[in-house]
Amino acid sequence: MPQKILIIDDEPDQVLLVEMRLQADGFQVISAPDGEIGLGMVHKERPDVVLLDLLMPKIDGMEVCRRLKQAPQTKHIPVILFTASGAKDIEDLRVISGADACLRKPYETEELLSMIHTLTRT
Amino acid sequence: MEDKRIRVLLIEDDPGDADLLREALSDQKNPSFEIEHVGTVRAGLEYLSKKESDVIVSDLTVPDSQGLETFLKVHAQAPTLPIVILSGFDDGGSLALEAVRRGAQDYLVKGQVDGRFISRILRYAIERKRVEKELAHLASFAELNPNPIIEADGNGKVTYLNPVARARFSDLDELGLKHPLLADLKWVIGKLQEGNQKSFVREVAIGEQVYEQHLSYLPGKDVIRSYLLDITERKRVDQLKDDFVSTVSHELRTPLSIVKQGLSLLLDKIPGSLGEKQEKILTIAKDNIDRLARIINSLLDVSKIESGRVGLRRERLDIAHLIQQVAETFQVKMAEKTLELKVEVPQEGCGVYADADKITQVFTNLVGNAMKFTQEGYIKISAAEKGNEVECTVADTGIGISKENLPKVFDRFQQFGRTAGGGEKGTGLGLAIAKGLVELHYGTIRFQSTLGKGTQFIFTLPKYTVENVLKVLVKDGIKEMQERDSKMSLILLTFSQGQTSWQGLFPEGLPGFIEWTQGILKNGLCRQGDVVIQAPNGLAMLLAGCDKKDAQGVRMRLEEAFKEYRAKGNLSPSVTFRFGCATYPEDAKDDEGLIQVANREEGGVHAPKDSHH
Repeated sequence: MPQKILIIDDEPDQVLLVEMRLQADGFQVISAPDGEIGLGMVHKERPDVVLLDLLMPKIDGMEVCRRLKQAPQTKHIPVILFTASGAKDIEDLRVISGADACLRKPYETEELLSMIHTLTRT
Repeated sequence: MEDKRIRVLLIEDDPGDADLLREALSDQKNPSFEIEHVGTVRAGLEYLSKKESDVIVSDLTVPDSQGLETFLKVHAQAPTLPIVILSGFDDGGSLALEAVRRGAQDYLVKGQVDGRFISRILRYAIERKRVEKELAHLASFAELNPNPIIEADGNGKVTYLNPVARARFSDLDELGLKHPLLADLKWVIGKLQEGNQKSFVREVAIGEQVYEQHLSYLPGKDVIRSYLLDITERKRVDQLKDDFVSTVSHELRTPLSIVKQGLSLLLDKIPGSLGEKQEKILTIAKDNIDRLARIINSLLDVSKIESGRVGLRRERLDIAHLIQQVAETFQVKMAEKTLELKVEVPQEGCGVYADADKITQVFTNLVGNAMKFTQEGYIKISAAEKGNEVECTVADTGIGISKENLPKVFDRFQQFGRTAGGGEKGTGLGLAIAKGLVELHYGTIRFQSTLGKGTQFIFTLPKYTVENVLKVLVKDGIKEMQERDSKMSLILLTFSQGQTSWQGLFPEGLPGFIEWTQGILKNGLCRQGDVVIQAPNGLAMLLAGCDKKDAQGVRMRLEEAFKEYRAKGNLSPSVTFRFGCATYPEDAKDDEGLIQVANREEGGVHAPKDSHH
């Protein structure tokens, strides 16, 4: 069974390209255009990893991450949080959000892939 | 030698008195005197409007004017000429004295016939007027200065205000040392007297305005002079610029990221195969997207450093190990350029108190820079202990820096020695960032360069020692308190025995001891963010936002807890300890002062005598 990855991002171009990349690497990819739908999909689809954009309308990535990590059913699912902001220190962001890893855009594809592999190994 | 001539305008209605004066001066040489005699003020003024004189000698009682009025009329008409009053016996000289108070240079009593004496009076009058004009000219520098200038003594008594300062700071006299511009003047005087520092600069906010205050001590007058620059606008523009940079960089990153991912998908041939030319074009595109990302990151870094928004995660860092890691990341690129990469670090390692990511960035910027300008030879990264610091060097055998560019090396957007052709393009921000990051660590950076031979960048970092860690944390604390305009207290616990064995003091050793102390603090008055760390021969507690009174309370609580601890038989009776306490800004304004006061100030428990209670 291929591992399932959920992308929660309001930028369709971004979603499309990440999807292509991950599918080529053998992952099953699903996506949600905002935090609210994303939270619903996590509960329904039980993905192996969640890729989450920080800045989104309605419920932002920080809040989505907080809710995922608080709920006993979802807190074990690894979350990678993406930010385009350079203002915040990336390590601070990881600590504050509770995400398993954080990446600043633009990032190297290899970096994302190795992160996913590390987080799904166990 | 040519005879010097002094032209005298004599206003005197009595021909006899005029002749006497002319007679007395007739045989004076070098200077000799050329006397133009008129009988009325009107005639005198008319003469002055046509011809020049060096000095005016005037009687006060002439047909068209009487008394002081005579002097005032002449003086008003010829304010730049020295005036000597010719005084009669009748008024006893009091009118003449009044004229001198109002600006006349001197007076002569009628009937004086000593030519040498009169000559001296006239020459001195001319000289005094010249000095007076010079002084007025000098004073005008301050009076006309559009920036405020203030002089005040150590007690806050204002001794001089230029007109701008008087208009802007009307409450200086009333508030004295309580006025932000006069605050801590005593301390400033001490600071300027002890050190080799000539002046001292600080930023002072007054209402909406922000001033840069340049203070210097004038020992002769025992006052502090302050030159003030209104930097409100600069501050506002800086803030705008920072906000702008961070918004723009955020808005640029998302599309940049998408383009980058698209290109790397194509280059990894996921959608399909590529021809040789297509691959080359896409590679160029991707390299330049990476370059754009570097520029955006650097811009943001500079902006963050300048606005003080960079937080450091300091730890004990083995600089030798870090240098090895940096060297590894450059190995491939160096080999491509057939450059040798040398590393010289102490084998046993070398501990500094620094943020690993930031120092890696410093090295990466310096080595990357060195590579750009070195075509053959080597690049050497080294580190060595030097006193209380560790000195790190990145040396190259490159083209060097030309003389006219030396002062601009650390400026932003300075790119010189730029070579055409391939290789990673710079942003012109790398060295500015390196300097900013080193200075955040309380280190310094400098360089040496010989044109055609090579360049060395040398920077220092604090060695990891108990003393340095304490100093750095106190410095950080003071910096933060300055920004928040708040207080901070430092409590030092010192054991007489030294810290040879923490186990002897506390069964779980130092970490357990720190935890135990933190526990006491938590139960006490203190809040989150307080720091407990090891200090030379004891512990240091940094209490942010804690004033002197609160700090004394905390200290007493700690003392009680220690007494209890001892009473339970947990501390060896031979161990004695004492607590010292110092508060910023009352006790000291800098790290060294604060630590000194906390070390000096005795108080509290002097065991073992009271350990039995």
